This record gives sequence, structure tokens and C-alpha cells, in this order.
Amino acid sequence: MTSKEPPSYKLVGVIVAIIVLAIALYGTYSFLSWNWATGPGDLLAGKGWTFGQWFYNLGLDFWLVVGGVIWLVGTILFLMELGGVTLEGLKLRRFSLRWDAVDIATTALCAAVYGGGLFATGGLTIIPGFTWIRPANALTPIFGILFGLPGAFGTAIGNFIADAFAGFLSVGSIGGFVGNFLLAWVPYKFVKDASMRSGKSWAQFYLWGVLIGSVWCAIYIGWWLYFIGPQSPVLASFPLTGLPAFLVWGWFTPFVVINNAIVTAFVSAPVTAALFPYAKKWGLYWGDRIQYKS
Amino acid sequence: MPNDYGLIAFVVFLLIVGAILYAMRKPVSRLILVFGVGGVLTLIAYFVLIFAGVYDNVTGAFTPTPVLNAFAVIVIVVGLGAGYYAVQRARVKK
Repeated sequence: MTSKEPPSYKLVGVIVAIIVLAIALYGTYSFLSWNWATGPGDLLAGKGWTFGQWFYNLGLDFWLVVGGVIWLVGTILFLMELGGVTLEGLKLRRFSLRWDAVDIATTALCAAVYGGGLFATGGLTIIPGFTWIRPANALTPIFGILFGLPGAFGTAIGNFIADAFAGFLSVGSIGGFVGNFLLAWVPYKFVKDASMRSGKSWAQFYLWGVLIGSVWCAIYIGWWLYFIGPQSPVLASFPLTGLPAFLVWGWFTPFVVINNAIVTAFVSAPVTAALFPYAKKWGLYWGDRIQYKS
Repeated sequence: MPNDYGLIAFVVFLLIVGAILYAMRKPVSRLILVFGVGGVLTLIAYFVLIFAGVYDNVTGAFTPTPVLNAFAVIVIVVGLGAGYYAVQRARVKK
């Protein structure tokens, strides 16, 4: 880590990392120690997975509104990036990306590696038809931080491919498409030093890349599944997926949070630091390819 | 199934939007066309695997899936190789 930055950044980095790791490890521990013999239906009787119960106990009205806002913001940001407008701090800026052979090849490469990595573990099902244990999620912040938008769009396509090959493809996959885009987009926008050589960049990584990215992605997909599911306030008479609300908010969403957080917390940052010099040398680092217009 | 029709409609929509933007010479059209073409190929693979009965073998949690694992290795290797080749070729052209 660089010696030029104030020591307070390193301290903040350590504190943020400890908090995020504690949340991820507690969620994982409570998930693994749950009595799997009782079945997820016991969640309704208050005997569910503790970490998931916290989510579910916030109530469906809470999730309808808060999840809806999070979903809407995520969708707007996704469409803005497609339209060539991005967020810089609190300002909107127009940017230009050529989408030439290198950008398209980077997108396809990320999609293939992420998709292949995901469906390689497709048999480790947690909720049949909806999610599975996904160690390849560790790739998303790496792709986002190093490759920027091509990496983020590559992860979106990769998730779609993985849903298909693992047999999980449904209208819910459209939520997964944007949700996984956000999982890479958040560290791309908020981790400022891709070389990961400073305490500040590690603090930003754990806060944005691990915690906020994971939670945002999980709530984004969870709200979509709830909205098109059998207990939707709008589509209940014509549900497009069959996941009941207690499974969406008590199992699916918290599981996606801990799955994303635990693998990204331990794997992604050191791999990003190791790959950054190569991405830079090959001209694939997003900061060398993007042009701002205003 | 409504699910499948919804996905097919989504992919067709992407292709149409990509084609319109391409006609308007917008650079982002290439990305949207990649979404659309990728979606078509993914759906084809999905339906082939359904009719091949691969998913019937995934019956519950922690089911071993050697077929999926083999596909995964192929996709990763082909993707890495094709990506590396395309990036190197583009750099040589510059």
C-alpha cells in the first residue's frame, strides 16, 4: 500500500473490511448451521435461517417500496450507461466508448469466462430453478474494476448464459441480467484506484464492491422475482415465476447477498491487484479507453 | 410456457433495437446486437439441452452435473481463446 496517503485511510480500510467480513461470515455460518432437515417452509413459523429471517421480518410492504426504489435506480443507471451517460460523483457526464473489436471481444471474453464459471457449479442448487452456490461471482468486481462497462455488460450476458446452461432460465433471468451488471458496475464506478495499491482503494472495494454491490444485486433480483411472482401486488393473477414471497425475501435475497459477499471479500481484491498491470499493458483497462465529452 | 415466450420476446426486442441503432450508426448498437445474438444462441442451447434431457438429471440440491461441468470447461476455454485472439488481432491492426 502506498505510503503517501494518510494512515487514517488504512485504518478505515481495515475497519470496513472487518465489518463486511463479519456480516458475510455470520450469514454463511448461520446458513450452514441451519437445520436442513426441517425444510424452508418453517421460515413462516419463525424457525428459518436467522440471517434470512432478518430480511423477511422487515415485511413485504417494506420490500415492495424500498426494493422498488432500489430496482428503479438500478434500471435507470443500466439504461443511462447504455445511452452513454454515466455518474461521476453526483453529476451526470456524457461519455464515449467506441465499442470496437477490443470492447466487444472483452465483453464476450468476460461473458464466456463468467458464464462458464457459474454453470460449472450449476449442480450445487440452493433454490431449484432460481439460484445455486456460485463461487464465480468473485469475478464480477474484477471485470468491473479492470474492464469497466465491457466487463459489466459481459457479466450480465454471462449470467444469462449460466442460467440457460444450468437449467434456470426464466423471465427472472432478465432481473439477473441487470442485477449482475450492477454487481460489476458498482465497483467499476466507486473503486477509484484499480491497482489496489492504497488503503483507500481497499476500503472502497470492501464498502462498494463487496457490501453495497452484493446487497444491491440481491435486492434488485429479489424485487424482480417478487414483482413477477405469485404474491405480486400487480401480477398475482398471472405470475411469471413461481417463487413465493417468503422464499424470495427469506432465502433467495439473503443467500445471494452472502454468496456474493463471501467470495468477493476473499478472492477479488488480490486478483484485481495481480491482473491490473496486465490489463493496463494490453490496453484493456477501462480508464485508458473511455472518453468523457463534458 | 409464458416464461419461454417472455424470454423469446425479450431477445427479439433486443435484436430489433440493436438493428435500428445500427441503422442509425450508433456505436452502442454493436453491444446491443451482441446481447441479442448472444440471447438467441443461449436460447438455442437451452432448448437443445431441454430436449436432450440434460436437466432431467438435476433432481435436487448438490446433484453431480458432469455434463454441465464439461460444457463449462468448453465455454471457458473457447471464450478465453477467442477473446485473447480478438484482442491481440485488434491491437496488431492499430
